[in-house]
Order: sequence, then structure tokens, then C-alpha cells
Amino acid sequence: MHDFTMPIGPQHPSLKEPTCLRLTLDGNYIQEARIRMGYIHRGIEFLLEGKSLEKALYIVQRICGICPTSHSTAYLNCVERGMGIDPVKKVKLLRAIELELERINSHMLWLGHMAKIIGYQMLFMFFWKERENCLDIFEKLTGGRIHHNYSKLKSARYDLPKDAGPFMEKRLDRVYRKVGDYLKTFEKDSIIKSRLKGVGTITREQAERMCLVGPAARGSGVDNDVRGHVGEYRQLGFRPVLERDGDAYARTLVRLKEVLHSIVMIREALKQMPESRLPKWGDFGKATFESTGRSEAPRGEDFHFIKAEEGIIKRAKIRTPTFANIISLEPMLKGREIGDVPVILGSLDPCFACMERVMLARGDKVEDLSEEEFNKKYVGKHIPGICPTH
Amino acid sequence: MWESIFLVFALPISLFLEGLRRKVIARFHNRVGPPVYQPFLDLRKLFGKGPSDSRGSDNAFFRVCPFLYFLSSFLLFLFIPFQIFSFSFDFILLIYITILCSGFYVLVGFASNSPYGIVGAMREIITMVAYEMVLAVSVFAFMLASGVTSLSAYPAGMHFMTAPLATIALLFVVSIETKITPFDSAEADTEIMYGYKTEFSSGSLAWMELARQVKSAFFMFFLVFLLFGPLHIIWLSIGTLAFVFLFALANATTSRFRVDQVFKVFVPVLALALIELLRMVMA
Repeated sequence: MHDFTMPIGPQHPSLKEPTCLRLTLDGNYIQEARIRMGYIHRGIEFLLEGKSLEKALYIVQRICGICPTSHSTAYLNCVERGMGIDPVKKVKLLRAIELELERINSHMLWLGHMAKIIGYQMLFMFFWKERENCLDIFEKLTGGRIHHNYSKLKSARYDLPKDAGPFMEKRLDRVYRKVGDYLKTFEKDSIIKSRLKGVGTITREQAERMCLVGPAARGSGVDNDVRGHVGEYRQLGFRPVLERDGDAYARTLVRLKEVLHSIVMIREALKQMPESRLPKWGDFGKATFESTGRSEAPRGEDFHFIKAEEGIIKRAKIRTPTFANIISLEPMLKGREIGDVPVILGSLDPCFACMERVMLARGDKVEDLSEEEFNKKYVGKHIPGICPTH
Repeated sequence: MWESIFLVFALPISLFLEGLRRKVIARFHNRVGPPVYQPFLDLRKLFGKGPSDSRGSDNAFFRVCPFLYFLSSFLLFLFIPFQIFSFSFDFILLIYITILCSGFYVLVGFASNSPYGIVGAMREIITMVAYEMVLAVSVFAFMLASGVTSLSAYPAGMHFMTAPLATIALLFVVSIETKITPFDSAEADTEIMYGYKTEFSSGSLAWMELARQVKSAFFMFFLVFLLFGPLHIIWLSIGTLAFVFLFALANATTSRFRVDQVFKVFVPVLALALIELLRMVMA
């Protein structure tokens, strides 16, 4: 069989967002895989620079459509740390509830997508149907089903509605029961197992060496969950969900079990919720600081760095989990069958719109610049051939 | 020759069965689903559209093969459910025509000159090696069990009880011939964008869709015929609808095998069919 090149993307049914994989094939098997990105670059860091801290809060929530609260929480953790603010317990619990709901929402969406990838249409429909319960809860708590704009400095936009407890309990019970059933399907269905087991295996050592994050790392037994370092989560009974095999099946099981564990933690958070009123929203003012903040997004660790002067952002750096995980893609694909490509790519749950931070160099010219020199030369200027961002 | 009238209705019946299949699958998915007449609308739309083919696939095979694929699929209705042609060992010609259908399917894939089409065609070749042989062995086993040499002499009866292993093998073969999960790796949408039909548009695509639907309908009749023999038209309809429901259920509740896994599944299936054939020869 002769060798030929096959593109997967930028438009392809197995991709949620545009990227391009160029596969060099030997018959049905992959000799070489090259990933090409940049189709959905938005210059989000450049957009943040020069904005006030208040405005930036709304921009960071639009980095991702599926995990806006993770970004706002990481951003607020960063700003509050920089400004020396420690929110009260109620606010922390409300943020934890939002984050866990977001995790359930994202994982359910992903599980449906993975079922679709392996041709299990019915499971795809069922996962997305149950996901609606999650969106209903978001609507009840925040007024928005996809973008919530819930987080505020030192506080949250709304307190829990009076009937939120029973409303959430009813829907979460249903999701818990159904996801439990689907977990059994994944554990028993031999065809699903044959498609996912042993595919895209990353050993624990490889995962540690490549610094993977989120379910991709936890599927290989690496415990790097940010929630483990947060006091409130320990009070909610948090324990990291770990699997040892490191393949697509292990990553799927991690996500399924995390959905169940998140529901348990939300129930616990509702029990521990103080009766007190929410504090007033804080004022960003003209703060000057340089700080970092983290949160555990559904796909892994979300990292924000902000440098602000007089309440205006001078430099923002955001590392989304996909950026950490995408490095493992090429070694995983080598030698596999074409049918495994969507499974391997999907098992990382990539979110390209969030991660694309591209700077193009013209030709072979490499410049070694300090931050000041870089700002003076490039920031805020449109230079042909160079993307005006970092 | 009143049986020839069936040929006039073969296309609408095939489209109706496809519409029904889509509706049943939608109900399994908890969806409303398209109306039963949706395949008719799809075809009208496709035939009404102008072609938009890429220059890379500008060759004679690309233009002719879709129609030949349809024609070879339609020819299958000459034998089952009513025998418009009948002669000794006509079932061998039937097997030949099913192989011809698969051959045109592969040619369509290669003629499209697209990586997806080529990979789809390669997958089909790999699976063809397995399932066409199983089909031939199973049909021979059924004919030997009934002791006749012509489809028109095939008696009515519970043939699935006399040849249970061949029945199981045949169910597997029909799943792969009708390209439903778990055996639709040659047409995997999330892997190779439906393989053979990626590059086709308008009329060519319509012929291929039509061929697929005709073939699916034929294999439903084929199963009823081989397992129960020639039946009254009412029982034939009920049996066909029951198999449409059964395969829709299988399609909805399974995920897709990889192509190498399909081949591995068909090795024991071939063994089953061969055991049945040997049993019939010994008897």
C-alpha cells in the first residue's frame, strides 16, 4: 500500500473546533502526525491589556464557552490575591458550586461527544439530554444557561434563590442516577471497551514528564488537581479521581466518576452554606499588583497571570489546560490506526479557541527582547505578518 | 408475470423502509425524528441540485460508477422477494451480484480520488474478504438444508431452525451489508467523513443514496425469504418491518468497531457458517 497524506480538519465531523492534523499514512496506519493550529486565534491576552480590572472580568469569562466560571474564578483568585482580599466562606462555597456544576456540564458534553465519535449515537443523545438538567440549574442560580457572569470581586452576583435547594436536589439526583447507569454501560459494553482500551496510552512517567493536567493526567494516575490545595474543597470531602491505565478508557472513566463526585460535593456545599447575607461587591479601584491565580477547570489547571498598574492591566498571561495537554497528541497518534485518531484527539478534550496563543516570526529572524523592549516595539501596534499579540 | 409489478414499487418501498428506519432510530434516541417521507424529499433535493465536483476527481469512473452501483443493487430485486428470473443455481448469480455491488462500492471510493474515499474503499476491501465469503457459505447452507437448487423452488418453513448457525452468520452479514453500527467502519462519519461518498454531490450522490437504500431494503426481504421461505405478502411485510425494527435497534444501541476488529469478529462468524455447511453436506 502506498503512503499518502490525509488531513483531519480544519473542518471535520469529529472536531468540535477547527484544527488540522496532517497524517502521513502507511495503509491504514499513521506514520507521522503533525498538528497545525491557528485557525481560531482571537488575541485574548492582547484584548485584556489596557482594560480596567472590572472590564477584564467580563472578557475572561468569554475565553471559553463551556468553562466561563473557571476563568473568572482563576482571574478573581489572581486579583484578590494581588489586592490582599480573602472572600468569606459563603462566597467560596458559591464559587465551588458553580465550578462543580460547570465540571458536570463540560464532562457530560464531552462524554456525549466521545460516544458520538465511537458511533454510539444513542448514548450521545442521552448524555446531552441529561446535561439540560445542569443548564436548568445554571439558569435558576445565575439567570444564564451558558454564560453566567456570576463571579464578582469579594462576592457573587446573586445569593442562592430560596427554592434553589430542592430544585437542584431534584435535578442532580436524576443526573446522578442516569450517569451511574451510563457508567455501568461503559464498564460492561465490550464494543466500547474494545474501542477505548489500550488506545492513546500515556504512562504515569510520560504524563509527569509532559506536565499533563486534568483528566488526561489523572487517567494516568497523576494527582495534580488544584482543588486538593483549596481548603473549602477539603471540607466538602474532595478526593481526586484517579485511574492507572492511562488510555482513552481510563480518561473516560475519570470524567464519568468526576461527574458523580462533583454532585456529592455540591450536595455537601448546599448543606454547609451559611445563612448569612452575601457581602457587597468589591471595588477594583486603582490597584497595582502582579499576581497569579489558579482554578481547576473541567479540562485541568487554568492559570492566570495579571500585572496591573493603577487598575489597568499591563500584561495578562493565561494558560489553559489544553495548552498543557496538546503536547501529548503527536506521540500518542504514531503507529495507530486512522479510526483511533478521533478517539485519541477527543480523549484529551481539547478546546482550541481557549488555548491559541500564537506569535508568528517573520522568516528565521529571532529577537531576544526584554519585556520593556517588547512592549515598546510591538504591543498595541499592527505589524504586517506578525500577529499583534503574545 | 405479475411479480414484475414489484419492480415498479421496489424504489418507493425501499425509500419508505429507510424513512421508517430513521424514524424508529430517532425514537430510540428520544428524538422526534424526520417524517417517514424524508428520503423522498432528500432525493428530490439532490436530483434538483447542480454538480459541484472537485477537479481532482474528474474521471469516467467517477461519473459512471454511482449509477452502476445503483443498477447492480436494483438487480438484486430480480431474485428476491419474487423470482422474476429463475433457473437452476440462480442463487449463485445472486451471490455474484451482491459481490458486484460491493465491487462498485469500492470503485466509487477509489474513483473519488479523495483520501477519505480511498480509505473507505480500502476498509471495504478488507471487510469484503470476510463477509462475502460468509454470505456465500450461509446461502449454500440454506439451499442444501432445503434440498433445492433454485430460489423459485425454495419451500416455505422455519428454515432458521434447520440451519441456526447459518442464520446467526447471515444476521451478521446483513448488518455489514446494510452498513449499520457496529460494522459501518467503511462509512464512519467521525473518522473518514462517510468514506466513499465524501466527494460526491447532486445526482451522483442521489444514485449512491438510492443504491444504499435499495440494498438495505433488499437484505430485509432477503432475510425473511431465507429464514421463512416465500410467504404471503402480508406476512412478508410484517417480517420485513420486524427486521427493519431489529436492525434499527442494533444500530441505535451499539458503537462502531474498528476495521481490524470487524475482521476479527467475522473469523468466528465464518467458522459458524462453515460448520453449518459441513453439517448440511454430511447430512
